[in-house]
Amino acid sequence: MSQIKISNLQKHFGAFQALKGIDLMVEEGTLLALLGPSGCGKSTTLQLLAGFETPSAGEIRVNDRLISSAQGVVPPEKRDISLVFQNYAVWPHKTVAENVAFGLQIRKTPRAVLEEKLGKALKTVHLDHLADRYPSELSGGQQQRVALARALIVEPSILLLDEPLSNLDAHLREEMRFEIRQVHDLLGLTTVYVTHDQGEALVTANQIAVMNGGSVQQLGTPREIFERPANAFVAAFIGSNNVIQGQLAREGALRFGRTELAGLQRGRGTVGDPFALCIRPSKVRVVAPGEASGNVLPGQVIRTAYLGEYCDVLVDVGHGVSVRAFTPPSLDFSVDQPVLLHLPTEDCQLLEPAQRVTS
Amino acid sequence: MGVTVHASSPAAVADELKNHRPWVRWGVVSAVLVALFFLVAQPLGWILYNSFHDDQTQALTVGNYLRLFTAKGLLQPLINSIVLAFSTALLSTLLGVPLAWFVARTNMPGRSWIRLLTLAAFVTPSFIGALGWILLAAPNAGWLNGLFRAATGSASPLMNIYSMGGAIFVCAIYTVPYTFTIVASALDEMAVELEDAATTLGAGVLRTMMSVTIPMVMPAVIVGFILSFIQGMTLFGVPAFLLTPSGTAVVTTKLAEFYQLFPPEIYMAAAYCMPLILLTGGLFWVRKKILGRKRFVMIGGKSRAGRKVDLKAWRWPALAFALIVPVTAVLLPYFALVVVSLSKAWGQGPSLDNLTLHWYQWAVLDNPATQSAIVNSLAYASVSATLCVLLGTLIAYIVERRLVSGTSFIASLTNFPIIIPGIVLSVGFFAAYTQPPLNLYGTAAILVAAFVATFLPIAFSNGEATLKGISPDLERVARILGASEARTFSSITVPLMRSGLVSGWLLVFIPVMRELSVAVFLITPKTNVMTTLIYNYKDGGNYEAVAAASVLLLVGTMAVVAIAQWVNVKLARHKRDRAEAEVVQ
Amino acid sequence: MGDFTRRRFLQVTGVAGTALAAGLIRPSFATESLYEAAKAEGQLNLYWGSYEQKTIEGIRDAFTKRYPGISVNLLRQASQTVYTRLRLELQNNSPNCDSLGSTNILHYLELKKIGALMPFRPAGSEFLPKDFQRLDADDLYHVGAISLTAINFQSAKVSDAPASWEAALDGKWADKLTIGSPAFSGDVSSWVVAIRKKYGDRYLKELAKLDPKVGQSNVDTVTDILSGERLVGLAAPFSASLTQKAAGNPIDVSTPSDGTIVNLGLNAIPANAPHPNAAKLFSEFLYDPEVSQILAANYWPTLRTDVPWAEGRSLEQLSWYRNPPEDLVAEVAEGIAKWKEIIG
Repeated sequence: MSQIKISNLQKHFGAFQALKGIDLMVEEGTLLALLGPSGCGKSTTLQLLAGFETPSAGEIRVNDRLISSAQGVVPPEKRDISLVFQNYAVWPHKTVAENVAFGLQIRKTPRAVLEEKLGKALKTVHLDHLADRYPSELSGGQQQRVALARALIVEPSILLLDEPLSNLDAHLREEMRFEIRQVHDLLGLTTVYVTHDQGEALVTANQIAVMNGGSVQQLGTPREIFERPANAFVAAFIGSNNVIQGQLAREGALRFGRTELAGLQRGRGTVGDPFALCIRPSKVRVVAPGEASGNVLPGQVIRTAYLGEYCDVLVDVGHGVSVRAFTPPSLDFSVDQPVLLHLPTEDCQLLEPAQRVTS
Repeated sequence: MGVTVHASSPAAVADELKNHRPWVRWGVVSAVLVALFFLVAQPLGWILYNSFHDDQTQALTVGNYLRLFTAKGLLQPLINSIVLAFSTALLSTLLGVPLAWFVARTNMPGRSWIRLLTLAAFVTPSFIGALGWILLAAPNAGWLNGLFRAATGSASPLMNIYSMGGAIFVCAIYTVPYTFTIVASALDEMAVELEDAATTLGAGVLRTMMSVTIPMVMPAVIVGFILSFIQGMTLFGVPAFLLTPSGTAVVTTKLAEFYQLFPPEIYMAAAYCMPLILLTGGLFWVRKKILGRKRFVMIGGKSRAGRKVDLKAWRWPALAFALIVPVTAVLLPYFALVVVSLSKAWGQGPSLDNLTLHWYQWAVLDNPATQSAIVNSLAYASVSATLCVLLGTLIAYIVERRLVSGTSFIASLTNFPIIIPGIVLSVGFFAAYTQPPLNLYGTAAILVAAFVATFLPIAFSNGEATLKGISPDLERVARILGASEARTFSSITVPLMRSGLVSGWLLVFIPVMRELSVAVFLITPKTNVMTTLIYNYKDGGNYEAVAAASVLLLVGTMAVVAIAQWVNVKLARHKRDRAEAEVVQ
Repeated sequence: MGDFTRRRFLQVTGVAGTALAAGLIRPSFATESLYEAAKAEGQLNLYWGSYEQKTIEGIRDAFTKRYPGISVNLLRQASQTVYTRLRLELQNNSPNCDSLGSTNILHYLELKKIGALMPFRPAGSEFLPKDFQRLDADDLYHVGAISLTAINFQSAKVSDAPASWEAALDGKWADKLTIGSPAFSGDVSSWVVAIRKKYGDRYLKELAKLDPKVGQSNVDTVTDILSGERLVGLAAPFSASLTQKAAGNPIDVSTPSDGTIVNLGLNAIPANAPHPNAAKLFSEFLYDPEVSQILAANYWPTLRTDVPWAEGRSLEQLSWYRNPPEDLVAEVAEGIAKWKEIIG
């Protein structure tokens, strides 16, 4: 049971700055998801946490014990941290039992204790009947569970998960999300979970750190992140928000072309600053002329997709911006059809454009 | 409370982290670097030093290099060598890569025999191979040409082995084992799913190989190509026998001239090798360019199945192709050599009353020189191969996992010796190993040191190719579970490299067995080896003895190869059998 | 006891000198004391390029049998190689060689120039053919092998083998000749020097027209003849050809009337030899009748005029020629250059 404190953590690879100084506090027993697109720095953070890389600046502490700084790192084997790799990294030359028992053998665990723990661990991940199999005979999900059991059997104080579900089939992924959550809740382990899949993060984590371009964009609970994104990047990344870039016209309104769009101003700025309006597709409404007053944008349908529950309609609103709207399936649109979009003021958030967003 | 405060003060923090400095890593890296310095850098330094001195006056000069470009007849051999080496590498890749795929990945019949015979080609010293092919394909007297004339009534021969084409062909069939072994061991470790997907259509066999499998083992293919190129560059026997009649000089025959002339031009010879170093440097640079940042991780912790691709009707054409090398490099020339070795007087041609086992009896029972040479050859080759693979694998690990900075320098230093022809290396080793702290002259250790240094590039390249196929995550997961770096290396990396290590061992063992020139200034009567002895019999015109000793060399080496393969298969089967048994349940 | 009596007998009768001169009684008193000193050294490192493996091993075995207690380490490699090895030892100050037996007199001239040889006149050298005695006025090196370069031919298919170098240029030998390369073989380069002295470049030009097969070593002519690839070999090794003939192969030797080429193998003791007495003992042993008998048995010219060659041949029967060592360096270089220019 441990608390992780990351302060001003930086990492350069040659001229490339992978981490631009991140600060994170992971409280004991928390499951923190590091969420972001590839190249955002989340994997580098994990490598640093695991002790495979030395930071360029900043430090990592666990329960106030310094484990990483630019002066040196405590090596991975001395950190009491376990890591489950994206590709499972199950050793092909060892059986399931040998894989799982490895950490205990390293710790010179007495044979009887080892056997007992091994049996329990295999049972927990439903692999007891496959103990003597080689990994090549296992399915992806089974290998995943071997990796998990192997990481947990050593009873680490911290568990790191690196995109643990990305190699699995869609339905298995759904199932494993809950399984991981369950394991976490059962053991109460401080866990850091790296993923690019917001669904995974929302389901499993108590805390989410959204990362981009080597820095943390927002840290918060899933609900906070989803409902109150800190900036346009977070908004766009979580919940597939529409982002309409413009300038701050006045407090609570964005100038987009000649139109002024009102919304809840959540970012700070002065009039004329570049600003962004974010709204989720499900909140965008297609209206008839005169049906709504204000916050209405005219546009042309680019494409439309019927998805049963709703229609996904993409509308060009000019100035190189397109807006997605989920409309009731009863409505039917054709390509190039002119439409009016209503963006309800209470669903529009005015945010600062993504800070330090790198291409 | 006081303790907590104290622990966070900067000085204490530094101490805490210092306790975790990777001493083992630094120790091993330092040991490897020291070994590399003494074994490789020092002899190379002497060769470089020599190249800047005048043979007559011993004075410092750049004259040797000037002569290289200005003197008549010194550039042409370089060009001829490049042509020979490039063609050799190309042909050997075209033959070796499909061969490796057929043997490692398909259900072609006779796979283990093809594997064994291809290694037998490797065992053959090139001058013996050339000799066999002279018997087979000399324009007038070659047996194959005789058969051709008898069958067709033609007056002209089917082929003339005394030609560039002949030399390329013979060089290639004897270098195929490099490409074959390296690519085959990479394929042995590769997952089969991708191939399965591609071969569901029966006609796509060739396509599967070309478009799916080969690209995945590209690092191994390129290493094989480079090693073959270097072989083509440094072989002496084949061009000496096959190209001298057409007046075509190559680098190695030119070097032999430098040594043969009086006064011997040893320093000039050293300078003459320097372009080869540039050339090899270029090759490794091209390799880096081609492979770039692509990852070729094949053992990623996912499945690795022993299943084979079903060739269906293509099995027999595949076998025919796979037989090219065994037939041309082993069966035909050794048939010729065996006939000679069983003759009282081989000039009389094969007949019953010319038949004798005398030469074998002489070599095995009567002649103590041959006996001790066989024992020496086997002993030195085993010890050298073991040390070489150990050192080469460690270097490959340091370079591949970037344990220190400057890995590309370490890699190039390690790679240099192989491009320098043996006779020049021998002088460098002499200078380096006869002075303190390595005063090894007259001992067996000097030979072992020279062999280790010479063939280190093979062990290193093979180790690199193997390591490239193993995901670093497999090692990292062991670290995170509490294993130290050393423990991870020994219980995860080494077992995963097993197949590659065995083939690396053979790739060093065999060339040591057949190496002639590196030992030339280092052997003593007590440390004499088979090849020197065979060369001496050739020198005396005693071809029956040459043939008998060559056959013995082949048999002895193949016995060791067979044992090594058996051990490898045994280790593998031990696990797979258990696994397969489980599946049946 | 036996030794003691014999030694006393020799001393008493005072015929030791005479007997030694006649080669009838051995070992002499001088040899005895040399043997004692050699035995104290216990080892002998021979670096020999003269004679092929079998013959030199025969000589070594006879020496070991005669002088037990001295362990002989025989390094048999090409002359140029043993010479280079000795030079490397000198350069790196790790002396090991006790006796250098090379076929190239230039090696000895160079070693003499740098003062690397030990003066010693071996007893018995007076039995050498007169022309080959006291080759060096300072006794730094002596003849250790007589090597002949002649013509060899396929005896089953050739009945009219060329009797001279000149005769080998006959048009009927077109595409039938084989020869080593002067760039690789010292014997062939000696031959080129001699033939150019006698016939000038004309000889090489006419030879080129016959399109000879150019091998590497002069022994390759034997191989080409035995395999049937070619019929007649020029600049061919006399002894190696006769050895193959004796083994039953269809090959024979013709000694050209316009001069069989004699190439002398030399023997010397390096000044810093670790076992000089053993080396001296070996130098003297070379002129022992037993060695000459071994040579004869292996079809080599003997080192003693009183021991006949194999097949009843002798130096006197031959018309022979030997390149004088003066200017040989330049002549060899020029010969090789001309060869490459004319023959390729």
